[in-house]
Amino acid sequence: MIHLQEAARRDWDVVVIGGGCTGAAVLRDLSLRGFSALLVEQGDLVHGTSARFHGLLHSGARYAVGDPEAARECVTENAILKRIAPHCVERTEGLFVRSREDSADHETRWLEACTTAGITTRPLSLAEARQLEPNLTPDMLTAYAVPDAGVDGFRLVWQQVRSAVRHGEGRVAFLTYAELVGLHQQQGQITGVTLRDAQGETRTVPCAFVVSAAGSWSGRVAALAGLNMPVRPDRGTLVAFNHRVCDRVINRLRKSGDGDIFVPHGSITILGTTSAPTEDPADTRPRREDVRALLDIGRVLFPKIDSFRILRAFAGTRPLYDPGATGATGADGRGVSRNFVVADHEKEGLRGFATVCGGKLTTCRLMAERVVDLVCARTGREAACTTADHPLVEEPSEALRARAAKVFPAQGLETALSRLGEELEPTVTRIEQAPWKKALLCECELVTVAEFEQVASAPTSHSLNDIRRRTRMGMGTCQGAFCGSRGLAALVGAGLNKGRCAAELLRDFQEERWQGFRPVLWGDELREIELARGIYGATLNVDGAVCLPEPANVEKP
Amino acid sequence: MTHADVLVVGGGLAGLLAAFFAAKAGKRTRLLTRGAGALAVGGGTLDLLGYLPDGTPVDRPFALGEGTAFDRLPPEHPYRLAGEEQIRAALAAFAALCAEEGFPLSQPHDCGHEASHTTVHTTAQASSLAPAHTRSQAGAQTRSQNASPSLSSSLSLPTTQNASQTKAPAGSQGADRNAWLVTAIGSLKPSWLLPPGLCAPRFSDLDELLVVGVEGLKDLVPELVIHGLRALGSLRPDIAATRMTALHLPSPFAAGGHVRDLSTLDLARWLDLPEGQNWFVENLSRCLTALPSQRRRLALVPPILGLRPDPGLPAALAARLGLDLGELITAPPAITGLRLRGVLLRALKRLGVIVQEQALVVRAVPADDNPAHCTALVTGTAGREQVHHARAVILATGGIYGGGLEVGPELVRECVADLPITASPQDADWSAPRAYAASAAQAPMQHGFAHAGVRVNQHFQPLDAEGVCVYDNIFCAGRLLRGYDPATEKSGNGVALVSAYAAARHACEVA
Repeated sequence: MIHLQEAARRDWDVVVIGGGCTGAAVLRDLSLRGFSALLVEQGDLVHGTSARFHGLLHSGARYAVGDPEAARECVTENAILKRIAPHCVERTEGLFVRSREDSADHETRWLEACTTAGITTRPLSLAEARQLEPNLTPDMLTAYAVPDAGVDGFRLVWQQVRSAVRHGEGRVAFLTYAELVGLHQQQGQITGVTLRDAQGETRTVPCAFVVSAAGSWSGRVAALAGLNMPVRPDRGTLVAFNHRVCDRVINRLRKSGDGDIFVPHGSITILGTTSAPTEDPADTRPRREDVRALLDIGRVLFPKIDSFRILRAFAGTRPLYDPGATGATGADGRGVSRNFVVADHEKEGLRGFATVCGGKLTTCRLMAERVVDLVCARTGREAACTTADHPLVEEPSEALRARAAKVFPAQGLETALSRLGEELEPTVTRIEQAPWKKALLCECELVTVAEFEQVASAPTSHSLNDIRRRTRMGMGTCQGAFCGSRGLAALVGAGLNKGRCAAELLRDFQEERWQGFRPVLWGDELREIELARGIYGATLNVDGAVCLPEPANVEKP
Repeated sequence: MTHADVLVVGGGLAGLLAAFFAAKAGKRTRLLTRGAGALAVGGGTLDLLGYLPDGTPVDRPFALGEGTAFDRLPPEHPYRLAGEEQIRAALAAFAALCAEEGFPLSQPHDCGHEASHTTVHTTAQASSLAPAHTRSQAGAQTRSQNASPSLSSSLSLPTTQNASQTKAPAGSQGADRNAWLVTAIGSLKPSWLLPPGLCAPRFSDLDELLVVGVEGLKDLVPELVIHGLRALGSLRPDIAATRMTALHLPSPFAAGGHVRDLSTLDLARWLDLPEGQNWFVENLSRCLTALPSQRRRLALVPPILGLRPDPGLPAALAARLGLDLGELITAPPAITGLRLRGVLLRALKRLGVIVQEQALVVRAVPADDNPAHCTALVTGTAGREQVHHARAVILATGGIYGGGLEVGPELVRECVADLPITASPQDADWSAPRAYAASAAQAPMQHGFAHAGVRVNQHFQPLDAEGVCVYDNIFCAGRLLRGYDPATEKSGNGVALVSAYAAARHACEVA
């Protein structure tokens, strides 16, 4: 983390736009190849699409029929990420299940295509499939196991960025809550970017090259240079269930469509995804009708779906690269390739500017390799890509493991080791200094007070939402009903609220969660909401909490 | 098979009270429960009405403008159906019940240094107890006459307006006013009747406010309480002028380096024991010796002064410490609610009410010759059905949280008798764009789901959409009712009490 003022005093080889998985992978690749590089993100890291998907590490099987090239890339990258990012991947494996509604012809084509792409498919007997996944419909016709897995987008981005900074030894930095407002060029060559920070201050940061990895925002970034980048944001809505509906990724064996993937993550399951074109890349408000449609489709594989407690819904925007698009009324989003593109804008007359977009989180490392190959070619640097060779996080030493084992409960030790990465040592130290801080602040996701304080003290943490994205506090069963006020208390108690008003921090946190509740306000989730309103409304009177100075202390009209 | 005059369903405050009132009226009463209701979540303060639906704070529920604050509620609100007289009667009956049980409530109880109790409480000071956009009755009038009155104008209210009402005996100047209790997030929450241990600080009479936490008690961090109160100080000179200090007691369970998670429940149980009380006094005294001596001091502590309903304990501990003590309002578990539950269960036992736990009511049985008359309820627990005959039934099964209402993606269902519910999750106003108000100066959010429930008449009998009574001997109480939102009004226990009182009264007429 670097401040804008300091970033503006240096001359960077490359500025990377976008703090999602692609930008993070690009930063890491640049770092390993010796560039000086700055990653710039308009919000917090991973606030966008990389955290707003189903968390599926594709085996490639889903694309085998329709997009064989994408499928082959997935096969390779799936294996690489399992190797270099073991703490981000939950090796669940996946099943493809054909229901009575799905065509047998497609199954035949799919099996052939998987073989061609090099994806292993292991047929299961129906008895075996039912035993492995008892919630699946007894009506299923066939089931195959594939090497799908679950992946944690939050952790993958943070670990890549931390890895990039560590390898960069001072050459590499990142800047969050900094909005790109201008791209500068002289005689057809990029010379810098203008950024605006959260306080509204703007600075120009000099650089020789800009890589746009802005995902759904890529079109807007290119437009700052007067260029056309045909990237269409496409909104996908997902539903999170409160328990593991299944232990494996469950795909419907049919032509890829909405609502046919269930991915288990830790203690929850995510069902996705819908596809709807949108003008605004920040259009991430999930709709009730999308949720109902997802449930209707999901019911085919999981007949008891209506009895599963929903936690929340969320939505992200896919960056679909569609050179044929004539505007917002283009073809169905499913028809557009999930493959990625590296656009060299030198071809349009602007040297030092490239966009990488499209693709999937699974292939983020490969996308980075391709665009950094281009940066090398254009800047005359010869360096081979080594991002597939190094793990993102160094494994903790035996000595540190032993210290951690003394302070974390046995059942939480592996979770802590996996989640904390480089924060492990300072977190352990916090508990050694104040043993009560091993108490759980968030019981659903096993977040200790010490871990919370450690993340809260980072210069990148400005809000409970920033802390939530890194620790997972507030993402479990209670969705913040209990840990929200505790987190606030821990922040203020440790003096880590950084001058921000407690009531405002609490409101920001609750309203962010609320957007995910609104489309699913029924059943047990609504009971949980009423419990939370009982606590924050009836008991703690959050509506009566004020900030100093209260921004609207005059009665509204 | 069982027989009762009055059969009550629900183990929360409304159910316990309805059973008490029916039994007190001499009826053979049986109570079916499935759990502890929301008492363990909400708490044992009797919140009557703290805010109008538009967010106007209510300082005097029984005196707002020409009438009462209840008059300003929508016509379908349970308080409007009950009427002011019945509200007063219910409050009196509740206070009498608690007094009889040796657990006297106060209304409202200000705390500060003893010497301060002779200070005359002016209207201006009292009205400033309300947070943000303070509105006493006079303030509300000012607002309706003035398009955008500034906050300061409401803080400098004319003191003549209610001079007669402030002429209360010394020590109870707060009578007829809401008490504004300090919460764990440092906000003030309005309540009406307070159990022993709770009090509303009178800041103007304090030199110093001590806020006490316990190491490892995550639900109460004194610094957050003080942070919130300091922010309120921008609107409240009396709070701004009060010195505030955070104190931390060591965990009582950390011997030998062994550390465990702490809840208020652990500590309240600990303080039921003499050792725990000694721990509390010794450790708090140790903190006090490090402070410069102050003349007028109040210590706000988490709700840990015993889990047993022992009304003398807070005062006894305060006497040993030589300062005033009051409990803070914190997130669940609600110790104050559990104490009140203990008191009420004791009262029911004395009256001979049979309490049947783990009873899941699965349906109501209409009379053969009259579908609008209920002869019995059927419970189905562990696969075995049992028929409970009754002359009258009181449903206090709770709302969405309590389980009296079951909400599907399209419909809301009343779980016992399938009473008509018109609200639906498909309604456009089912939820508001925000969960809570954007600031203390904004009106609270109105969520359709919060107002969903059974429509009743003035006898608290269930009605259908056309207003026709669907059962002549079923009466409804508590969160099952439509038309109010305790989260925004701070009226939860109050509506539970008043509707239980009214439902029991009318049930006794037919039983």
